[in-house]
Amino acid sequence: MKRFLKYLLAYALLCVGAFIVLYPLIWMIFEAFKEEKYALSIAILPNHFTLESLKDFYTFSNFSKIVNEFNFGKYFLNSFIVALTSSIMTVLICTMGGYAFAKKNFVGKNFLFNTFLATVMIPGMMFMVPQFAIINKLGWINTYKAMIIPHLANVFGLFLMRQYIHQIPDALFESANIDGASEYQIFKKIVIPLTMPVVATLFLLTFLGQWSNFLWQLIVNTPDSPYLTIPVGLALFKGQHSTQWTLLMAASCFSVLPIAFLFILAQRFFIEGMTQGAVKG
Amino acid sequence: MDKIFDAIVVVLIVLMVIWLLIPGGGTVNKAGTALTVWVTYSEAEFKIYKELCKKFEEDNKIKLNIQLIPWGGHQNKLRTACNTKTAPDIARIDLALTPLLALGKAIEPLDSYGVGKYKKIIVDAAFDTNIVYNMRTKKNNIYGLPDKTDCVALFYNKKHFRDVGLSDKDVPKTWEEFVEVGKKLTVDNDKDGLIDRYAFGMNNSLWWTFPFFNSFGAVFINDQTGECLLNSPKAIAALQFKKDLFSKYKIEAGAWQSGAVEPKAGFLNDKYSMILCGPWLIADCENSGMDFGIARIPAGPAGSFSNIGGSNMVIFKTCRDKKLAYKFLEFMVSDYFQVKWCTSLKQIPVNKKLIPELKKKLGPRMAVFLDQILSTRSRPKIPRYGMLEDAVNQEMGAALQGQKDVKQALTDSKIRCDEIVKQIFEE
Amino acid sequence: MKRKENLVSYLFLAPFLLVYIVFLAYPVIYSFFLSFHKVSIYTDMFDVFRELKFVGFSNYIQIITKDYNFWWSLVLTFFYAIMTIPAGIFLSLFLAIMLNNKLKGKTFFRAAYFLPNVLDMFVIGTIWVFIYAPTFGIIVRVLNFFGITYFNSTGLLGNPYTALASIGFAMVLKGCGFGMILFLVALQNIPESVYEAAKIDGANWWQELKHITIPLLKPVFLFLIVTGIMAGLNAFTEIYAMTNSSGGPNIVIAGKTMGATSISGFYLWKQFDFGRYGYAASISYVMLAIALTLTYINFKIIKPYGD
Repeated sequence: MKRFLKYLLAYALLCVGAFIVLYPLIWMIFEAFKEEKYALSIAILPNHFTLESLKDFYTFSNFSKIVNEFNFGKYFLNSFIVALTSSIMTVLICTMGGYAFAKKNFVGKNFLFNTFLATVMIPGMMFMVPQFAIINKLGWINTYKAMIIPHLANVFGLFLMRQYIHQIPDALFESANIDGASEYQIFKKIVIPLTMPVVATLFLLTFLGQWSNFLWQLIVNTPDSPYLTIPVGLALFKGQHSTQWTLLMAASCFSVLPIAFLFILAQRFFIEGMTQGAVKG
Repeated sequence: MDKIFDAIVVVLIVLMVIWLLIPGGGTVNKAGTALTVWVTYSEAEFKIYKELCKKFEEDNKIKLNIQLIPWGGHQNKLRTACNTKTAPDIARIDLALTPLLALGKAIEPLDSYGVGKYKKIIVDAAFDTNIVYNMRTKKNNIYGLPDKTDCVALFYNKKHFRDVGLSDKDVPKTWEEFVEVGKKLTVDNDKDGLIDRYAFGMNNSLWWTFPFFNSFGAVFINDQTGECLLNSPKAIAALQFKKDLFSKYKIEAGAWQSGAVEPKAGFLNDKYSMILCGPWLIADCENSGMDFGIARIPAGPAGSFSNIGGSNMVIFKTCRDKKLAYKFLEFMVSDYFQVKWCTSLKQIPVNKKLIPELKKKLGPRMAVFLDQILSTRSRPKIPRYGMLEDAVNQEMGAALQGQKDVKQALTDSKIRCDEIVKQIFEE
Repeated sequence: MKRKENLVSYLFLAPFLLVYIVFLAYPVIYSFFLSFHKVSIYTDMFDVFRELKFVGFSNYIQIITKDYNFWWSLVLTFFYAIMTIPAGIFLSLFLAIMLNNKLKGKTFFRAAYFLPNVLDMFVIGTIWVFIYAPTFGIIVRVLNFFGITYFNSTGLLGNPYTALASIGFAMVLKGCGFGMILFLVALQNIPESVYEAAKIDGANWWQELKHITIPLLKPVFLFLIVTGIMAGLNAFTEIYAMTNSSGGPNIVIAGKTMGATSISGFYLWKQFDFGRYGYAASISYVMLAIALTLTYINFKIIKPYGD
């Protein structure tokens, strides 16, 4: 009985919490189905529940408009390529770097790491102009490269990987060394498999960051670039004085979908505990 | 299995290096076009815009490269573009950006092209936003032509008026009448002590306070000397009145507070009966099926005056063909362009001559704006204007909250503004 | 041997270092250089670099001696961090422990708490503004039901004493899913056998938490604190979205009016937006100095790698 009550309490808490944090999302979804004239109303349901008023309140036209008139598919594809490539490369680069920082001793280790950490304490906007100047010099305007490469040196990621790899018992590496494994093999056979959970996390976070990186993606593309991404596309719905809320929210729904999907996919990796046995050491 | 993995790694690395080394990328100016134009319109406006520009292309036998950039972020985008010499030939900019680009030598002064003749043709306040005074050279120059001009007027909810037994005739014409009408419109239907509907919702920021300052005859900053004049009795009276609407007469909802339901949303959601807003709200109101009317700003001691907003077209210093670019700016204020543009999008023309004609075409609601735009006052044209705005917004906010009295707040505003202006021009 | 290890380490680090040097180190040096200069309004925008005016330490002196708004923003940032970082960590840990169980539907809840991270700040802002709003807001209505009328005319965001805390609360709820994941990953990594051994020794859940779980989660704590400090210093969109872009209600201290939610990230962003690049750069270096000191103290206190 006591156990049952405890579960009930836990569920009640979790449900209330989930409702509060998810309410903005729920609102966004309902908003995407609203007729434009009800756009600014905070209500997600019509005043009366008759068939008429429901018809008057909701519509599918926002979604069809997004797909047909705004070329959303193109934005989506670009965003996807940028986010996917960025995440893969960031994860790889950060895992390699994190491994070096966690398990190696080398000249300038502490100095480098502290410098890296210090860099991210400076708000990113300060770097925008010089970074763009470099992109311009390299002739990378209107390329995927311009959107991907400057963000690969992700200090967050490096820090995260280092924290995690640090926990892998040294004994594993020592025995591999004794077996005569090369560094490449150690990295492939020990580091990568054992860091899978946090790799999935970092992948997800990088993907998320690139998926919503508005200002940089706006700046490195000229307006007629074939590589415009979702955040830039979404910004076109916001005018000087008025915003097309319903369209904006419909498009946002599309842009949330892949992240939700990715999260569920990634959960397998980072929570199902595929590493348990190995780490015990 | 192991071998395959290794092979994949090698291939990936090779591919990546190739990808990095492939030159690529574009430039701002598309080949084969005479002018690159960046505009910040909405999708709907952009479609019509491109259509209208075809005439210019045909007349001059050239191709334009017209590009849409989002309004949010256009200031940053243009600034970075200038810093790296990747600016377009022509751009549509928020009028607050004109002084910054002008003094930063990013845009071309147009005086030598004969832009002076438009002083008589264009709506005064809108034209005025293009004149920038350089304190170093002690010279005035004209840096662009407006493509769009806006001001605010009084929106009112007709149904709310009827609910309390008022009609269109009772729409306030002066600020005194406004208070009287407002008291009737503020109602607590269920008598629970929480007001259910307020007569008025207002913003705090300087731009939204200009209708008050202007109709009380107060001036913000002297353009030539840069001195702030907000501690004048007129300005104090104006802000005191604004504050009284909230704290003394209690007919204003406190919509100016951060985190409150902002005037526009409150008006559309039936919470506020009257607000000040610009013509862009008309479409929203019509869409929501609301019964509403528009009237001029209530008159104060100096008359009924509004503020000015909108955007300007400017030519960048790096423009490929400045003569042609200027011709394009002229084309945009021409009768042909303006009539079509304003009738299809329901906007205020920048061209004064067209106002009587368009008043009939655009209907009674827009007519109020076409009328009001002739009694507006320009705002100071100082680069980094936002710094002044921020300081004054803070002080006015403190006054509205009752943390400072109005006179003190405006005196402090003056002191801060004078310091900031000094700083801006010395830095 | 030593030399080989150096070589190998740098090979592993090479890709990161390369991107870092080109796209971060150069901008860092550039903005450091910038912080000793002023970008005047008369500076040619097409050639900012050549026309910079060297002013020595005058930007720094101005910040330190005159700019009371900046110091105020630091105080606020400090409060903001004190409020959000521990609350965020606590909530994340709580969620992680709850959802690490064999609870039915945990997959759903995990996703539910993570998803708000994806949403545009604007959407979140809109909702919370309506919740906190004066007169019509949900919280004000509820408080009125209990006879509390204090917030009726200002709402929670319009009141200078509650505005920042209200924003912080919304942000903690938005961000807790992120910390939750990191904790979950770490929790999964603690071998079951450790707990079993503890059970045999007769430890209750609290002792388990205190002596096993929390010490083993130390690296995550450190990570969340450091990233929390970074997020605190960088925060501005939430302020922007929830205060009508004004920096919040005002507070008058010794005759000076200051924004009650104008934290340093917001303040810095404003300076940048005004085009005062030099001044903004100096501000960010002052902030950096302070942040580094704090982080250093943190490392000393938590000692994530033992001594």
